[in-house]
Amino acid sequence: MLTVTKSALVVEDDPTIRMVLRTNLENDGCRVMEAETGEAALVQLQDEMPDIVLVDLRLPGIHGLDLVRSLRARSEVPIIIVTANTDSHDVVAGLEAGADDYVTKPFVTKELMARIRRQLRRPVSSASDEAVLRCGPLELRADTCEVFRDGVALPVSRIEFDVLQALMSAQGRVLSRDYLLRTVWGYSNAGDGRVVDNLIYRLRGKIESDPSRPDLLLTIRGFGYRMKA
Amino acid sequence: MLSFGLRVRVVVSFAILSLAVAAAVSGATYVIASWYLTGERSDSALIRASLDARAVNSALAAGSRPGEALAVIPVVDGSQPMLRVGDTWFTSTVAVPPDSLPADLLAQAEAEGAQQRIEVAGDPYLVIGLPTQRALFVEVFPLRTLDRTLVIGGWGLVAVTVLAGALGALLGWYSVRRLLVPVDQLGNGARSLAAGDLDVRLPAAGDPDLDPIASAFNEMADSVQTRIAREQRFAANVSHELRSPMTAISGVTELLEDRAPDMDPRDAGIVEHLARQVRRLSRMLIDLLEISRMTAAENVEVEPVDVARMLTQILQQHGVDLAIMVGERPVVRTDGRHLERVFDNIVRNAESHGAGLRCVEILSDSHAVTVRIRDSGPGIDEELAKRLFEPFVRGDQADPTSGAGLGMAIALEHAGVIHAGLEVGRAEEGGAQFVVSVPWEISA
Repeated sequence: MLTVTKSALVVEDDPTIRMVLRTNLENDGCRVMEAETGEAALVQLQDEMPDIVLVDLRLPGIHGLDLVRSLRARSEVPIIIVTANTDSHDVVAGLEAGADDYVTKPFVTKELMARIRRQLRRPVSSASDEAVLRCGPLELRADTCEVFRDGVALPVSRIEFDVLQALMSAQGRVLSRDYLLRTVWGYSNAGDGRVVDNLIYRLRGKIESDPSRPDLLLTIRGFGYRMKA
Repeated sequence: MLSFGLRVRVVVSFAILSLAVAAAVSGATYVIASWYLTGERSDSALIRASLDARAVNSALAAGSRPGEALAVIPVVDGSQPMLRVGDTWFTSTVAVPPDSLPADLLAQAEAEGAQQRIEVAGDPYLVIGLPTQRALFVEVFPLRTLDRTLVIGGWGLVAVTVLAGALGALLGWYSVRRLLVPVDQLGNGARSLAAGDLDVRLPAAGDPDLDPIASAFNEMADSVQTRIAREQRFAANVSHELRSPMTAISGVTELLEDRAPDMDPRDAGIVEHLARQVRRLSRMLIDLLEISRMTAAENVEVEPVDVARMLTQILQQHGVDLAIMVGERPVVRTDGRHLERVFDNIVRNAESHGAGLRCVEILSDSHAVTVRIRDSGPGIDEELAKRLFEPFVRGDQADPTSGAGLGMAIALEHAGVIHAGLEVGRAEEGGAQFVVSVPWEISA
């Protein structure tokens, strides 16, 4: 259960699936907005930015991918793609467009709800968490969920913050994609490493001075990622 | 009956034909040459002998003694003149002793003159006997040189014949090779097509007799490719069309299940049945879509994979508490996503049909890393083992509501993508044993 009321926007053309998602989200204490098309979603988003957006890729009118792209351009809101298409390039396109996670139809509601909760949850600062983590020009403040580079605040999404926090806490140790999927995304079983790869790509665009030649967030080919020690 | 290939038959035919022609030509050449040379030799010998006989006769007439008469004849090419006066033989050399001359020859020579070929001490000679007024003149000409010439010429012709046969075979091999190039290409093309390379096409060789074969093959490949593409599109559309209602149905069912505790127990029972069947249908749909998607060309991303670690995680996900038997932890370079699907399906199968896992063992040798997964089920007979990897095949004792029998087919498809071997058999201690052999390295 979420302690503070969160809002979710469900963009889905199938009324039954909308109803199922609404009921489950409401059971979890969420306020739910619905949109049948991408156009309707964009209109709603002008009035209010929700805490999470669920997008079906195949929509009448503008494609789900375009909706994700234009949404990501103006907000760091968590986006989960719900798609019937499991083709690799569709999934990759969705992640590259800026989605934070994806589930494929038919999904198990409990699995989807766990993913949603993970994206919505507030940062849990436990006693062991260091309030401020540093790595080169980067500074991460756990209490306020802020990231600074050379003193300038960077706009990072919830999940980007979590990934960066996990990597900086590891102090130069390599974290596998699998580990990140479990701890950050909350996957209960093996997931798709490309979800991590795409997020790392986006994160580099924000924290690195030259994202094509990263010198803070390093790839260890075949194993995972680590921060410069 | 032995059957030879086109290649062998053409080569042998060419060889036999050219050998026969060469042999006929050589044989004729030999006979003519031998006849001509022998005739010429004997003609010139007769002329020599006649001249010599006349010279001897004149000498004898002039009163010379037989020995002196013979001395006037020049010895050319080892010819040996002899005279018989009465019963006494006179000769300048003794290469051919007079008593080795055949009596019938001498008798005939005495009457009208005669010639004959004889052999003395293994050497051939031509003997010409001519009667003169006072004595019988005999001259012996050695034929050894002529015979040797004929023998050498004969062998030369045999060599030429054999060479012609060999050349014929070579010519046959060359032309059949040219002829078979498109046939070989056709075979290779068909093999590639069968192996799944639908883009394979044969080049036109520019030969009006052979190009129709290539173009017929290309038409066939086009049609196969089109049909497969159409079926894949169809499967993808069906996939999408089924997924949405399936999601809606399972979502609603899950909502009903959540409310089941508040329901009349009979209604709750109905919902439970519904939920079980919906889950089964959903699982089946996911499997079916996975297997239909697998037939499309899969991309492979190679990365180091710790096999033991992967298996441990899969066992955890299935809630199996079992230690993996492994020596040094092997790390293979393969596509982990596919390998994981292989193991996952085998473990799922063992848990639902094989009465649970009994043993997971990892062995490695220079070729591959071999994973043996054994269950504690009733085992598997040979008949089922052969068909287990076909879709919708299940054991007789399998729970009919447990699954569609697609898991093993999926595992095999994934194994194929990463060139891994997958076999099933009966374990020594009963139960089924799945053996997955993963190559150390595959190229992406």
